[in-house]
Parts: sequence; C-alpha cells; structure tokens
Amino acid sequence: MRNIIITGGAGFIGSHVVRLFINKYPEYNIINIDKLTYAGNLANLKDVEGKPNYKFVKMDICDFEGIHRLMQDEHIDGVIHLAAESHVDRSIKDPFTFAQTNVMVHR
Amino acid sequence: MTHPDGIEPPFTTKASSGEHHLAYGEKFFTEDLKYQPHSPYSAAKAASDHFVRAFHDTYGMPTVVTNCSNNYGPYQFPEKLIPLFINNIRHRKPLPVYGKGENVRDWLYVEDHARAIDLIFHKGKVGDTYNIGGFNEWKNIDIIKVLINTVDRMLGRPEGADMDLITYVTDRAGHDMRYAIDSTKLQRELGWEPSLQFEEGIEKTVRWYLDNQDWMDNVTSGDYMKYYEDMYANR
Repeated sequence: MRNIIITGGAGFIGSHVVRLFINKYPEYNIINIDKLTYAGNLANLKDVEGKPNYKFVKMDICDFEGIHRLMQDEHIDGVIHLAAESHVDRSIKDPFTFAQTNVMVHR
Repeated sequence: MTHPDGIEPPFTTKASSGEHHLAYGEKFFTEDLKYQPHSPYSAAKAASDHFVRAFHDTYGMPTVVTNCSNNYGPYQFPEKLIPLFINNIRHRKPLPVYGKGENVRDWLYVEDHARAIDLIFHKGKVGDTYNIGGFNEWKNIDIIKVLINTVDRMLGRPEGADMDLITYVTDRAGHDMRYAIDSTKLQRELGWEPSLQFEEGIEKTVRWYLDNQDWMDNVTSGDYMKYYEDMYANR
C-alpha cells in the first residue's frame, strides 16, 4: 500500500496518526484531507509539514465528487477515516451537523 | 468488487473514540455487544459504524472499524477535559465538573491510539471490529485531582493549592455514567499493548501543555484559524 488518505489529519488524534505514518513509512504518500473546522489546526503538524511524503488538501469529506476525483488522481489504495465532529456538548446544541459530518460522509 | 458509484474500494479503516455509543453500565464493552447511544454525538457515530459494516457486507468494501476509549495527550483542543483543565489551573480559573464528577472513563495516551491504528490498518482482519482501550478507568474527579497536583508541582506551587478551583455544575443530559472498553482482542490477535502507564502519560501531557503555551494561546485566541491562509493561500 503506497498512497493513503487520512481524513481529519489536522485534528487531535488525526495529527498523531499522520505524524506516525509520515515518519514510519517514508515510502508511502500520506494525503491529509481536512476541512479545517474549529478543531482542525495545521500547527499540530508543523514538525512534519515539509516532508516529501506528505500532502495536505483542504476539503470537506462530504464533498463526494471532490473526494472521488482525488482518490482517482492520487491512485489511493487506503483510507484511514478519522474526521468527525467530536464534542458531545456541541452535539446537544447542534445535532444535525453531527448527523451530516459523522454519518452522511459514508453515503 | 466495485462500489456502485464506480470507485474501486480501497482498504478503509474507520476509527471512533471518546464518548460513546459504548456505554455499558457495569460491563466491559466487547466487540460483539450492541451499541447503546444516548447523545446525538454517539448516535451519529454508531450510525456511521453501521454504514461501514453495511458497505463491507453489501459491496465487499474491505473495511475495518475501530472503537477507542477517551484519548489524551499533546494537541488536544481545549474544549476537552484534560487540556481545558490544565490551562484553567495554570491561570487559576474555575474547573467546571459535571454532576459530582463520579462518571468513569477509560483513558488512553493518543500515541498509543495511533500505534493501534497503524497495526490494525496493516494487520487487521477485513470486516472485523477492534476495540482500543487502556484498561485504565478513572472517575473524572480523581483525574481532576491528579491534574491539579501535577500542574501545581510543575509550576512550583504547593501541591493541591488549587483544589478550590473545582466547581460542580449540573450534569450533562444523556451523560453516560461509565463506559469501559475491552481491548483484549487487539492485544491477543495483533499483540498491541499501551506503551505508557497513565501516570507517565499525564506527566508528559501536563509538561507539554505548560511548555507549549504559545500553541494554547494561539488556539484560545482563534489565531490558529489564520494559519492555513498564511501557509497555503498562495501555494
């Protein structure tokens, strides 16, 4: 497996997974897809953002056409899906954003 | 097999963590128990797990689902308990505790979660689900006391001096009393185990937030939102 998408890679858990894969697998191409909502922060990846096996793409995972195109263009053969709305208190105030981001992405 | 929209199905690993379609009273949650979501967050996460499994069963997409307990460590957004409280203790701001702080959560150092995802992505059995957890359950109030003692010590304050910052607030609606995740399958089948004891993990985490006040200030001020513009707008 060579070309891998990691969604939500600018988030908390995602940034740790992206870092591990970039450093451990220099022969892989790691593509980080993140919408950069309030919880996404590219400063979390400052130490690896210049690595040759890393690429960042700002994209909404609900943009099905965009993701489809990217997967074909980059010959993606693996996806690690970590993007999600993650804060329970926010889900109580705004449940449908959670339904959209956390469920509809899988259509 | 081909997805109905023409995508060649890649190997897909989907991970969940945190709160929790996994709430299970007195039992440990194993991979074969049914989900019991109570909040909109956990209902959405449960639905997405079911979709992934349906895509495996219906279209033959090679998927693996993971479920993880609460994560902690560097770079966590300070709306979550551990970074929020470390920052509040540092600045001597109140520490809002839901209910009596008796809710129990299992905690895992985030780098151990990343190691588990790496292992499952490469070695996990297609169509399977793996739990990732630390067998490390704490009552919220006990974690908060550990945080206060640790921050106080590292800042040269008398240990426990900031206990009076604890402020009890009305519990969250739909708040699960406990969840505990059983990661025996991952340990047995793929040989994963947590690399850090909780005490070590908390020491590293508190130290990181105290040493990276710039990161915290950048997040709490909202300036980090401009970083993408600065870094990528003209590329």
